[in-house]
Amino acid sequence: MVDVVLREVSKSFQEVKAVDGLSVKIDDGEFFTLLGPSGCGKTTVLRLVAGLETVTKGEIYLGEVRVNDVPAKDRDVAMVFQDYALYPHMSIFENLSLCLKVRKVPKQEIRQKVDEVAELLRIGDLLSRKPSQLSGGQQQRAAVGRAIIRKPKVFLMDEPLSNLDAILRVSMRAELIALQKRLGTTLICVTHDQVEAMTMSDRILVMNRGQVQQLGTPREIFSHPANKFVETFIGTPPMNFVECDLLEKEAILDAGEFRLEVPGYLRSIMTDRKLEKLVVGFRPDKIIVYTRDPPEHAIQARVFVREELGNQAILSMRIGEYIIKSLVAEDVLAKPDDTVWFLPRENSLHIFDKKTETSIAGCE
Amino acid sequence: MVVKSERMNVFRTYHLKTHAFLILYSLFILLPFVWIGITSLKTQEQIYADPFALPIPAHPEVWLDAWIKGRFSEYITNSFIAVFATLLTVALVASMAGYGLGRYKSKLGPTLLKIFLVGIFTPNQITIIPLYIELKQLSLLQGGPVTYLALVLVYSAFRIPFATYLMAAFFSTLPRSVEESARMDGLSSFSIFRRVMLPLSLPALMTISVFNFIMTWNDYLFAATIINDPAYMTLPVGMQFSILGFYTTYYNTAAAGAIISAIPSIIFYLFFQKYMLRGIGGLGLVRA
Amino acid sequence: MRVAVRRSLREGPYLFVVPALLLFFSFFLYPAIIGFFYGLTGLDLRKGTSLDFIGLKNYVEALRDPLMQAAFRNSLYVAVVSSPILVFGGLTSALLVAKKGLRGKAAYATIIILPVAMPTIATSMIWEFIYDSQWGAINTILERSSLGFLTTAWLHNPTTALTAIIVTYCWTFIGFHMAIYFSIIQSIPKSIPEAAAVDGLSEFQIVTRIIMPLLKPGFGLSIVNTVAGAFTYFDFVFLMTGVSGGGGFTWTDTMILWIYRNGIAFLKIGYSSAGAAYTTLVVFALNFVILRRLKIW
Repeated sequence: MVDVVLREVSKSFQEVKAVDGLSVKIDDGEFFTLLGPSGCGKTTVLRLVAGLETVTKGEIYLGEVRVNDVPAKDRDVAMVFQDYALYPHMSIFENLSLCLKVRKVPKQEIRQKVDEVAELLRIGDLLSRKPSQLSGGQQQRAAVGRAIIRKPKVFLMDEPLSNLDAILRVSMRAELIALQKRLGTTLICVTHDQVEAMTMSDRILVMNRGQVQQLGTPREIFSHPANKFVETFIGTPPMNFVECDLLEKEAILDAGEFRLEVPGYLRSIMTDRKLEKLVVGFRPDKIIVYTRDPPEHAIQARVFVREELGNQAILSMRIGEYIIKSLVAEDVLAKPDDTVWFLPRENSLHIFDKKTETSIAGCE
Repeated sequence: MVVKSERMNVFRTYHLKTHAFLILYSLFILLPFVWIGITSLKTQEQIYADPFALPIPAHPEVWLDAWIKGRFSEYITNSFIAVFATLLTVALVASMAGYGLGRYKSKLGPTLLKIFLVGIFTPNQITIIPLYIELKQLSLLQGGPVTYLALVLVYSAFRIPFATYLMAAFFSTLPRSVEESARMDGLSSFSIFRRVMLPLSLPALMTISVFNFIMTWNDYLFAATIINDPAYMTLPVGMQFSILGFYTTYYNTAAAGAIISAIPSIIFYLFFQKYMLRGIGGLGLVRA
Repeated sequence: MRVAVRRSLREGPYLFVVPALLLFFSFFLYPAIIGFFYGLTGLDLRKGTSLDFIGLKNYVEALRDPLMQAAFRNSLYVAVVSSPILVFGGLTSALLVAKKGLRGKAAYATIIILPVAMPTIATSMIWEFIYDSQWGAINTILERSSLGFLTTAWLHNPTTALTAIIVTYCWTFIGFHMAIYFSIIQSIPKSIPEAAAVDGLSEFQIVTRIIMPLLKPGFGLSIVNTVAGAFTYFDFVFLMTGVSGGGGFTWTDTMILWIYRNGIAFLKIGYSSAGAAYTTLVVFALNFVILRRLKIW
């Protein structure tokens, strides 16, 4: 039950810099997620905290203790691997109890702890089986059990839900959240699934190419993405991006095929800076689509594809070279080849500088 | 508070100790080669003077002498013929059998596989005497080109169990979809095998063939028993016939001969050792 | 019924398996099995080709033959001495070479396995020279370190000859066993020893509790191989001590040598086949017992 501090941590493998100058403080008891695409360095960070890799530069602290030179087995952390890494030749009971056995915990106590954990995770009747005889979900719970049984200071999880089928994933998500709250242990989770990150975490660290993109609560990241990368990563379907030039004394955004009015609250921010090329983003769920009687400034487009989601649908609309996606209710009956009109909702534009891709303005 | 752990340092010296052991052992392996190499470049007097001295001046003509006296060009050619004929036979036959056993569900399939498995764990040498009789009865021991036939038949038979087993294992891991789309295209079983399965299995065949090459090329016992015609001797037998006789008097020639005989194997091994490792590993995993 | 058989023959896999089965059966399985029956005959090619049935006479005579008893003892000796060296040596080198982050893994593995790829006459020649009583490496080193009294004709001395051969045998084949263990170790997902490390196991504990149990099949193959090899491996014993060039002695004979001499040299087919039958039975029995004890079978 400690906080985890990384100070200017870098890790290079040969020539490749997997993690570049990362500094972050993860609070005691927090559910903290590292989010990013494959290869962004998030798993490397996890492994650095675990002690499975050594830092090239920087320091890692578990609580007050500097653990750079402490090997994994002495760090008192526990890890759930992406492939669960259960010992194939041992029963589940043995898998769970091995870490206690090597710490010379008496047999009675081991038995008791295993039973506790097994009951908590509902794997009680699987204890005598071998991992190969368990289903994916059961293996995962066994792996979690192995991690929690010795009440470590920090839990580490590497893509815990990615190997589960969709239904299991949803139920395990809830279970993990409840479990973490109950145990109160610091949990660092790695995932590439932003829905997972958003629903489960207290805070998220978004990474790309070894570098921090943004650190914040799910709400913060969703409503104030720091740059284009974060924006693309969060939100399903992903945000629509349109390149614009700023015209007419900073009041109109010209996207070529259409124009958008700069909303009032943004005007002052825009006039403060010398801006020319911009990228404007607006979320699919923040677009109003009209199948008839469009209002004055609405933009005309042709429906290209309709993806049914049940009570919603994703409309891909084409204007010129742009394809804009919008999330609409099922009663918006637009079909492919229909002409429609759309407008981003008030106060829902995100504006990015084209060159640096950082956010200039935007909120919801 | 900084926790300093000597364990991290031990972690590094572990590699130092590891390297130390491994280097020592590697020397144990390599020094005999080095020594024979040195010896092969000396004159007899140089050897008598100091067996460990470096050959200065070196006498590479010893090698030429060994090459000619040892009739290596003849023996290496013979080995090539016998071994490659074997490799091709085994590759063809075992891949077919592996396909049949690994791909199709059949009543006798598992039993046949078990029979091959027994073959893997039966030492070849126990067949030597009855094999001798059998080959004699088939008039394959009389010398002349049938020697090759005898060798290929025997060598193939010995290599087939392992090769079949590996191929069966390999084929059973291929996705059904490849076959099914071929069948939908109207190909017969044999065509599917020839055009689709066989090309896909080339890496596995490489592994098996490399392993087979080593086992067959280096064989002494069966070659010695089967080959009765000096013109058709393979390398191991021929070399014993021609050059090992020099051993007691001309150490340098014998040494050079030993090295020459080893060179094809070493070159082959260095090129294909990746496959060789996989082949032996296959043996380990067969049991698993 | 006949129609069903015919159809399954055509459509089933059997056609594909036939060539392999034919070769395997004709030149491996058949001779292996028929040997038992030859043992029951008095076939001696120097006296003719008659297959007269003489019952267990050969089998009994072989048991009484001091040369066969010696060959049997020698084989046991080789088995007992070489097995631990090969298994332990192979295992240790595999564990060392497989260590995480070790540089030069490929080079070490290549060197260690190299002797396996060598033709046995080359190896025999190399080691014969090393053991040479006058100019060999061992005696030269001994003499130069004032241990000259220890020098002997290693391959010609009844006390040392077989052991000397065992050294050559191990030098050659530790790499083979290393390859077996190494490839099994490579097939273990990396996450498993990592999970063990995070769980709190020391490196030693990871090796003993996680890796070794997973190597059990490798042990099985290893031991089967060393036991069978002790009785049936021909080349080194023959080339280094069994041929007139190398010594022509029989006191280093193992079972296969005895079989070879009686069968190929003396052409006493029936007699030697009895010995072969014993060898096969003993090898299978030993394997069975050992594998049972290791709980592999």
